[in-house]
Amino acid sequence: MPDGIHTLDRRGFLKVGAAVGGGLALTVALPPSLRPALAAAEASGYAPNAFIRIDRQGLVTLVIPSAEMGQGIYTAEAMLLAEELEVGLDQVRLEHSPPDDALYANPLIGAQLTGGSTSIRGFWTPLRQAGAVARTLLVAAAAKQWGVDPSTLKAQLGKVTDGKRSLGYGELADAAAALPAPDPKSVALKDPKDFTIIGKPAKRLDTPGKVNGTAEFGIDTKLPGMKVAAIAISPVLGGKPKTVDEAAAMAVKGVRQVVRTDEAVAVVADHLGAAKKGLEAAAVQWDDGPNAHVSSADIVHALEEESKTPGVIARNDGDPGKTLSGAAQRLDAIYQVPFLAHATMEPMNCTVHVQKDSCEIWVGTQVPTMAQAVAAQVAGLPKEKVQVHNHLLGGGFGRRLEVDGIARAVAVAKQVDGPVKVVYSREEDIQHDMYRPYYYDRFSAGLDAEGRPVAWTHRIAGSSIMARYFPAGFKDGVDADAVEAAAEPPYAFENIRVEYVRVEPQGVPTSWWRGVGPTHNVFVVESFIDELAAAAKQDPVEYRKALLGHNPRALGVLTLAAEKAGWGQPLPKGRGRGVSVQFAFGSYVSQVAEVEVAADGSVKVHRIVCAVDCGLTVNPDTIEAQAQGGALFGLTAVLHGAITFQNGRVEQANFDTYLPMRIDEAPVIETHIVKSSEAPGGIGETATAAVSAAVTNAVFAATGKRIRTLPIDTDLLKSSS
Amino acid sequence: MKLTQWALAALLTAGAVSPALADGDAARGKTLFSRCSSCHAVTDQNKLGPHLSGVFGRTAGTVSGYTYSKGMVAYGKVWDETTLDAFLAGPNKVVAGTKMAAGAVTNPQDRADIIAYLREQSGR
Amino acid sequence: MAVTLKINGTPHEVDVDGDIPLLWVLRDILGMTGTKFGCGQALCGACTVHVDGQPVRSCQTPVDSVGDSAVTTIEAIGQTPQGATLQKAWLELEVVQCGYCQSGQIMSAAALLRDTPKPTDDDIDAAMSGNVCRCGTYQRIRAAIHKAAA
Repeated sequence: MPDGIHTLDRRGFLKVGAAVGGGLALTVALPPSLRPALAAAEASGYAPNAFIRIDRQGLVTLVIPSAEMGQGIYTAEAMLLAEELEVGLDQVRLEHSPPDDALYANPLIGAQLTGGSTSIRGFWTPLRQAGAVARTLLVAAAAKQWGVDPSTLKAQLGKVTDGKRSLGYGELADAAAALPAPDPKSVALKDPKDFTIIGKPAKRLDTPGKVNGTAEFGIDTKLPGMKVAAIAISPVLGGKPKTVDEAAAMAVKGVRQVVRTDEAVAVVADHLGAAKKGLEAAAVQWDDGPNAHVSSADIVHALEEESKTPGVIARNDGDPGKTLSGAAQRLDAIYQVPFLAHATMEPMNCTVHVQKDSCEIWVGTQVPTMAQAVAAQVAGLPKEKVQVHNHLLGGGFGRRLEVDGIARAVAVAKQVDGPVKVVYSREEDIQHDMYRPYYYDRFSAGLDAEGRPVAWTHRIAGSSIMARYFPAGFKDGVDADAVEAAAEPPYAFENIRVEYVRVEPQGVPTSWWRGVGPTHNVFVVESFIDELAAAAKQDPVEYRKALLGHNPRALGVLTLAAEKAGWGQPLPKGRGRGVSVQFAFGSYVSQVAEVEVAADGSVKVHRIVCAVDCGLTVNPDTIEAQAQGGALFGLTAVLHGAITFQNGRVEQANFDTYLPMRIDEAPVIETHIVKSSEAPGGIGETATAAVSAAVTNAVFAATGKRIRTLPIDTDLLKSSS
Repeated sequence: MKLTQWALAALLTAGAVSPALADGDAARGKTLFSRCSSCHAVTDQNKLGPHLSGVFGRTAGTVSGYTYSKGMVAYGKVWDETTLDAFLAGPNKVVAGTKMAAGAVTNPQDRADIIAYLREQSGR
Repeated sequence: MAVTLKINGTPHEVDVDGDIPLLWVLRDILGMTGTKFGCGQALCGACTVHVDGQPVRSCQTPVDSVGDSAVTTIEAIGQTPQGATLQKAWLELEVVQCGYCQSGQIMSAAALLRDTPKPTDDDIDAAMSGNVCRCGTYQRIRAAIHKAAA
């Protein structure tokens, strides 16, 4: 399949029909970025809904509503469609969906957006329904042709058969297209026990092209006459270009044009080597603007001060104030997590062709309709005139939920004749990211004489991403994401109060980072509950179990992870185990980390055991891959991740100052998936949220020292300190 | 004192035999070193590459706290102008399997300048 | 400056300044986008190609340093025995997530296997620690290299 090469039908030749047959053959031969966006309803051929097209040759095209950024969703959503449509995964080709909220919105979100680990949860039923409707009509068409009852027929692997005769979907396409479609809700879906595709490990459809260099990411776009541009944005956040040595830039061989926009300078050239050289020669001077004194110290100080006053209540049960003051033992703690950059391997980029009446963009995005909207706005065109060609993403992690890079590229392209590919350098990518906010949390808890928690208060201070990105998620002063997994921890606390204090860092753009609210809150909640266990002198796993009696699935993953990790078995000196458990993104996960802390304070993570209960699984291999990759993504941040500001600038620049994890540092992640028939939960971000506390709790077990600020400061762990 | 023709010829001959070892400009070398500095520090901090503080006169593959390739440990020569020049002209050719996968410094003067800078940093 | 570069066995004549990194010649001039741009500072390995069989970061390899050496890229590595077995192992173990780093990973691994047919975990660490994967596929990369070596 993967290249979209379709197989000839039984009659052994391609029918080159008027528009469609020839058009589709041409489509197949072109790389994805050059394929024209085909309308859902063709002149001929069969397109029962926005997700499925079948031509007369039997070529099955699945239009995937979500964006593929390595989480395997293209294949998983194809599996949902193929299961009910009754085609094999080797019989389909995939297409990126064009921007269209009406057709491709994720029902859970209300927009065409891939994020929040919602794709399977949102499309689990609609895609199966779409496949079932399509199959029902194909069977009906065959039944009509043979003059039999449809219930006597069976659809399998792209054919309808009565046991003796069969008709391929291609042969039935025209007839099926003429039949009235049933209401999707009225078509019966398969019982999970009858699944032939869903729930079995499947080879992903996009991976073959990714091991031989043929897969195309946005940055690989090639167009006739296309130029490439290197872009410089003000090093001080929010500044503007002041002077540009245009002549020096133009003197560089290969440079074609120097473009200036409100906030950036771009050098347009035949190739990026010349563009970068030209940008350096341009020696841009900047007008720093109002943020030249922004510093991390000031930002953190503001958080510290403003978090002293009560925030807006996100949850209030019982009387935490009273039970806290009457408690046998009281604990207080302050936790801090830093700004984080995304650092996708594919730097931000966008190819744009602006003409008088149109704007066409080629990009990798998690939000095609937002991309279309911002391009329309910057180009000054109605959105119907803006075409968006989505691509495979070289990493998303939430970065590509934002369209700032697209806006900048369109602003440049407006001044360029012909298409131009704007590519960020790694330095621009890190220094003009939109960062995971710095959160400053104040905890208090009261324990009774048996060490049980009788009061729990948690005040969260930090930026509100929702207020900017999705105002409906910022209601009555509470940012739903900032308190996610904190307002509803998995434990039964009788007296609990959770508050949110909105504090915006001057000049610093904030946004979604893999695991979003839970990545921050599971770290702090699972660390603080670990502190309670230690104060109660109880085993961390047993302490949590006692609070999860009402939550059998959380109890289930905690027990499984502890068992598989050998919890309680002796470890050499300097080593410790730590645990975390969570309910987030519709799934239950528990992790046990085993770490070793050396005399110089350096932390080595030897092993992570991950128990996942995500309900019904679509592609179990992807579940395991996401548990591995998600944990490592979070682990990198625990050990190395921090974006800091000084004099209005981001201090980190490339992978020498914003350190990635490398293969020699990466532990093995052992994944255990709970067999479950519950509704599917999300997995893309789940392991990222779980890993931080598992590791820092393990550090405590190894050293007796509690980590309350990330990333881990090894100086605090030195034997001498 | 005026150079005798003989002395001049000797100087010129020396230049022709090993142009790559022409005197390097340490100040220019410092500027060129920016290409190396993402991986190498001249203080004693190991990054993606081992630190180069005191590299002159050091046996290859011996900085503590850095994990070298087997090839570099086996190479084991002492870093001086000659060995550094050869290595920078073709890292992979001189040390097969070296972790230093950044490309060669092809310009002999560039190499000489970088080496002069490293030598100055080593206090030699 | 006009140079002729031998890439995957085919000569290509290009006209660029000598200090332009090979990466941009491959991607933007010759349209061979299998080799990726990740950092521009030889820190991430996404741009790894072979020059006379040795792995180099093409983002820091000036065109005038290549001469008549043979350049091999991801587009052709599958024609070598190591490249072919690695690609097969990569797919059997489903190593890939987003895939952007994987061209560089496979190029580094191919050079490793050619020089060290049965690498230890330490050998893998040394040869592969220059290749960054933000999706965290390291565990499966290691397993796939062992599988290809078996």
